[in-house]
Amino acid sequence: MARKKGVKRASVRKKPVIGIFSFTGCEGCQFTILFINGILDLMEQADFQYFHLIKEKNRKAKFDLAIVEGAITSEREVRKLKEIRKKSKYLIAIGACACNGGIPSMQNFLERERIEKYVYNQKMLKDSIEATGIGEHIKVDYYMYGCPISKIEFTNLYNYFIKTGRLPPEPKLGPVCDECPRRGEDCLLLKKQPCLGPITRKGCGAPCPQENIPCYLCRSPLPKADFPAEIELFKSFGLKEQDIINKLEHFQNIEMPKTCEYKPKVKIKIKGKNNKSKPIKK
Amino acid sequence: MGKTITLNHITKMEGHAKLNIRVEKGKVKKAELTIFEGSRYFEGILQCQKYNELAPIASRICGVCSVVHFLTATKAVEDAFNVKVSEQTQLLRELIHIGGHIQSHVLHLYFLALPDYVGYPNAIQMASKYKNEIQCALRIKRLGNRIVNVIGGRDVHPLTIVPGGMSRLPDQAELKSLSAELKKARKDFIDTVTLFAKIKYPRFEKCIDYYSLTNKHYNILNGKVIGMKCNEICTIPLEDYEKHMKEYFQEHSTAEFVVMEGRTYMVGALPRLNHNYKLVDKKILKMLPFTFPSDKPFHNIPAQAVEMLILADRAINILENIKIKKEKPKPIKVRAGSGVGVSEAPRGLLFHKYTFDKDGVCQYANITTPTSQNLRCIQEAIKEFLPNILDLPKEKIKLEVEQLIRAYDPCISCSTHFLELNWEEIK
Repeated sequence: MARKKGVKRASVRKKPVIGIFSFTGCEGCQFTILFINGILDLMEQADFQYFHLIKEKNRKAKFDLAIVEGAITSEREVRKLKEIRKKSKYLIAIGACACNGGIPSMQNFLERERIEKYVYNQKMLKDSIEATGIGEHIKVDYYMYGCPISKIEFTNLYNYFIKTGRLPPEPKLGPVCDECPRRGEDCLLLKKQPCLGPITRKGCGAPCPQENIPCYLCRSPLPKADFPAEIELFKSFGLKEQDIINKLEHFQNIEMPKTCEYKPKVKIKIKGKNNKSKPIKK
Repeated sequence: MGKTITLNHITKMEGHAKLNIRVEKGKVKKAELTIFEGSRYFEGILQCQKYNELAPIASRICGVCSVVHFLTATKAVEDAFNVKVSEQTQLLRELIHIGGHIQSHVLHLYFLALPDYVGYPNAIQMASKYKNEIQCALRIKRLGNRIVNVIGGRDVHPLTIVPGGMSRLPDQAELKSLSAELKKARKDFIDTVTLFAKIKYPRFEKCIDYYSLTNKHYNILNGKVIGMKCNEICTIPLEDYEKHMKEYFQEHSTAEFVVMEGRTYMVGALPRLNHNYKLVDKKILKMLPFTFPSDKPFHNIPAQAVEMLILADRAINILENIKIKKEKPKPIKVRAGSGVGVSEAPRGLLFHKYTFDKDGVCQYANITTPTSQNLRCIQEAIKEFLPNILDLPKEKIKLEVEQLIRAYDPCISCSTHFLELNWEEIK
């Protein structure tokens, strides 16, 4: 009896309005969401007013939850992002690009004039700005890291939101190693493979080490990540310093010193709210 | 008085695009695609990266074609260092590639294209009336994901493809169960062909050059690049494909265009079948109400449906015969030089070219995606198609033009060069 009553109440309650928005990136996180088994059932529990990938009519309503993917690379994107923030009760960043710039932010560290000449043979888009995560421009209520995001993490957050109308608390911090089944004798580091698991936020279930691929920091460094120690360790594996630095830069907006005169004693600072990495410019 | 129609934010297509059409006195003066996507400079950021870091970065060009970017980048690296991968690696890569094609085709067919033809704004609203079809699509999607998962370890941005081989070999038992699942799902693939063969597509013909891979069997991973140029077959040598292909920017437009041998051309499922239909089981081809070669761009949609069935059969064939033997990726001897990789992405030919220094650090990268190759063709097609439908109400024109664009299955986010610019062409 009680259950029936609950069902009735649930059906009376208005479905939360959700929008999935995409800025500069590969849209792989949107696809990851679409590839969740039972996605249509999940989607039925909310009112998706904006999901340009599969919907033709995109009414720009007010949103209970805005899910934002992609990095911000132009003034136009900043304006659109701010508009979305104003209309949304909660806003979450999904994927490395939205969290801290991801792969698109790698362009920040290139000699701009050289790559433009090389790739486009002409001037830059006028309103182009430094590529960053969305948190540089607006308040973000939850960061879902990873490239791409984990299906389980998304489904858990989604279900929590549908049930409570609120976002879950931020996950506990810890290195990928905490979840890695190779931990111990089978550890990739013991095989002299440059695995970044020890300094990367957990939450993915360590899929890469399980496929014999060293972790590549796609979920962002932990706030206390000891980069110098990691660089020293990889150097002892025979890697060149420049290659290690390139590796560290792939998924985040962190600039490492470029010269080989780099002294490991200098600690690289990662500041910012929500433990989010920010670009460090010389 | 001129009439300007602007389709803002064309939806149900990966990436973000805008189209400007200008009609003057019943004549189409302008049909121009504008892209919303921010710039990512992939070719720039791939420079200075070590050879083994290229594929994971290149994979991030596109979330839905991540498998093919991964494979093609790896192929280019292997070509540069003259590494020949084992037969087993080739087969496993072909399998994961087939999985990627299925993922992409099923999404395009059922979620992006089908709603247009059955009169629904989107797949979610279509779901109640077309329950069986959507269920069938979801089963195929799950299977595509499963193949990519079993071989690559993840649905999007797979992990196991490394220069020289595979970082992890799949379990024989898992391959066996995959084979059984595929056989069970064969009916779904057949139903898909039947469904898309039944649809009445707009009658629009556009004679154009086609380019695709060809090989001894219907192969989307390896082969030589051939073109059909005025019914004349030509081969593009891979070592210097850049000499045959020209990338350029059009006046007042924002996107990159490509011509092959100075001519507009099309890549994708239709060109693949136009060139390779003789390699396909006749029973499959008979399911369609038309024959290949076809010059109708809308036939790209049923061509994708047929291709899914062909590829599913190929996957079953591989899975039934493969016996996984333990092997490690071939060792890489780094040397200075260039390498080219070419594959058939779901949307057509994909080229990756890299040049390395003696330490294996990338000095030059050139990526040519299928969408940028098709873009000129799409624009020309819109211009030719519009006069047929100009009398229709504006809403209908919008829908039909969108349908035409979507028939080419463009993926805007993967076009590495897209950029809005004010550029005056001096020529």
